[in-house]
Amino acid sequence: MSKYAFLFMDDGVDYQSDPTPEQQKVYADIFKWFEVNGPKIVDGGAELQPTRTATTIRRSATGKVTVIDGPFIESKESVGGFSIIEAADLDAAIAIAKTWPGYGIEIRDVVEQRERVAEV
Amino acid sequence: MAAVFHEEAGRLTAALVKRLGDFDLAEECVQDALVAALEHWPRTGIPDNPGAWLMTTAHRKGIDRLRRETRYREKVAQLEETPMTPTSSMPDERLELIFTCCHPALAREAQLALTLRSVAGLTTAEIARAFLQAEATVAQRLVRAKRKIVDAKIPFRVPEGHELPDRVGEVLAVLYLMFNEGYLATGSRGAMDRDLAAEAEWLTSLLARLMPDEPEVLGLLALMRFNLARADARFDGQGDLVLLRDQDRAKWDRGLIDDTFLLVGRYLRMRGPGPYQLQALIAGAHADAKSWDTTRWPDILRSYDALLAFSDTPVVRLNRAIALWHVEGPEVALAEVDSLSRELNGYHLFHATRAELLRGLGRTADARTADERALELTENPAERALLQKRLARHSR
Amino acid sequence: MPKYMLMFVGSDDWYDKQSKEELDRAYQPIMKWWDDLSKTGVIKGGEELGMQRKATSVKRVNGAMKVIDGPFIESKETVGGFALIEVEDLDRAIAIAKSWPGGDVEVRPIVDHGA
Repeated sequence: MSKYAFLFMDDGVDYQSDPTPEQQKVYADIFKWFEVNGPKIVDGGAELQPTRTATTIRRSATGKVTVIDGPFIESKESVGGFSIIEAADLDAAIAIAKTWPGYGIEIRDVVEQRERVAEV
Repeated sequence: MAAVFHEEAGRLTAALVKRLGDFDLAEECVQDALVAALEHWPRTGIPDNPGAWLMTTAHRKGIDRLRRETRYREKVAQLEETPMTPTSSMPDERLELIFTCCHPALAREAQLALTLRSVAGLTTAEIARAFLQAEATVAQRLVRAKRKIVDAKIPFRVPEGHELPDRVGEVLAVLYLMFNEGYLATGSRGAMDRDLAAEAEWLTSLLARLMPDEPEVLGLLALMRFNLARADARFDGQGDLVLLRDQDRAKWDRGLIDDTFLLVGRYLRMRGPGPYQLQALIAGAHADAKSWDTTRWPDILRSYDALLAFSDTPVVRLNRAIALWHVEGPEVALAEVDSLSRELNGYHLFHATRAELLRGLGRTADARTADERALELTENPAERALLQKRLARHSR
Repeated sequence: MPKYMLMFVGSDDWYDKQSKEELDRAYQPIMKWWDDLSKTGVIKGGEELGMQRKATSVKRVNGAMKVIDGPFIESKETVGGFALIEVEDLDRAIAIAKSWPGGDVEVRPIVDHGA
């Protein structure tokens, strides 16, 4: 069994303000998806608010830190949430991801706890 | 009425934000009250206690709003319970308000619009006209900013000691940008519109009252006032821009200049140097000189050198080059300016400055080319007119 | 208290350029950062993510889910890891993000689905 990170992708539409009946159905299906796949979800993670609520901290080459309004990438599509699931292998993870009722998912490996070089 | 709005709008917003705990809602209530005042006061006259009138109205409008939106039900009870007091007897929380409006997590344009709206009491329409933008654009910008404050939970507070320098810097950047927008946009707004540069000066003055021990705030205030003191000399009889070197110094407000030097004395004694204080010293050196030629250029050059230590940017180096010209001659200055060509090639003032230096060296043909390049790159109508006049004058 | 997601910006390019020693050195302060904030209860969870080029994506195209070899969005920068934190307000979240020993960080409030 391996851990995979599911990055739930957003198509850029702000659902929170005024969801259409169609969007509401997707939201309900998503709720059911989490229930059905509960056993496979190791970390429920979180749903993120839209990118308009984002703030990015940028570090320049000289070490200067700047606080900026907005996400780190300006694009229509964005990450809308995270979860960690456990599956036998990547194919199994993909099969689970394909049942997602939303727009899409990016599946990434999870880097396990690194070996510490020196114990502090 | 503008003076009343100035004093009361900010206090009112701050008080309501505190009481309601919701920036968006507080802001909407104040806006309702200001619009109501604009409707009634021209007919009934300004009330004896305008603060109380606005507070009562905001209160009433607030309750109306809350009743209409179910998510605010608990807040209705809160508003109805607490007694109302005139804003002047409430603790002044405008400093919290200023830091919230100028929070770095908000985009610069949002900071500008929100500060003018919440602290200075301008309407959306007035802000839109000041920046030559569509009212709907400004309205949307304000809505987005207020939603972000609520959704991302930007706190309503004065930053703590260690955070203060950066956060004060952010506020001053907003106010300085506002001042420059107003200063340069002269002539393109209606006579009844609020003067953006004057608003920026008022806000900076308020900030100085609320934070009397911050030398950079005093520095920015002094810089603005030295600039404003020259206002009457900036345009000639035809309404065209007049450069500092050519201005009739008899038209400068000597009283304001003298008062501003007292401000300079205050911040120098605080011994906490910074970029705005240095820029004010430069403006002060000009204000103090009887003529362009008798200006104390070595002092100005020294201030620019100190400014470079805080902010070594091509634009600062460009402005410093003029002082360099008068202290070390046009060849040295031109060499310095030319070294900036890669970064500043798209900047109209780079070419305009080069033109002046080239003319100083007698290279009239090259100067003309530079002026033409500057004209190509200038968008501001007043500056364009100036450059066109210059080209016409030197066309022989 | 409100929760925020910190997304640590990274790129495959950066990883490619590091030697094993450089990578280990880079991770020291990061692991300490993680330990300290987990101990004080600020960090509620999070993970480091694998390379962007090894990602697989599924995307809804004309109603059906299509499998794509690679990341969802083609870009030089990607989310290299994330941390869920619980703090008083955005200022505290920004302060935590500023203390991150790595590169850029995006701070976003989460949707609170309950208590």
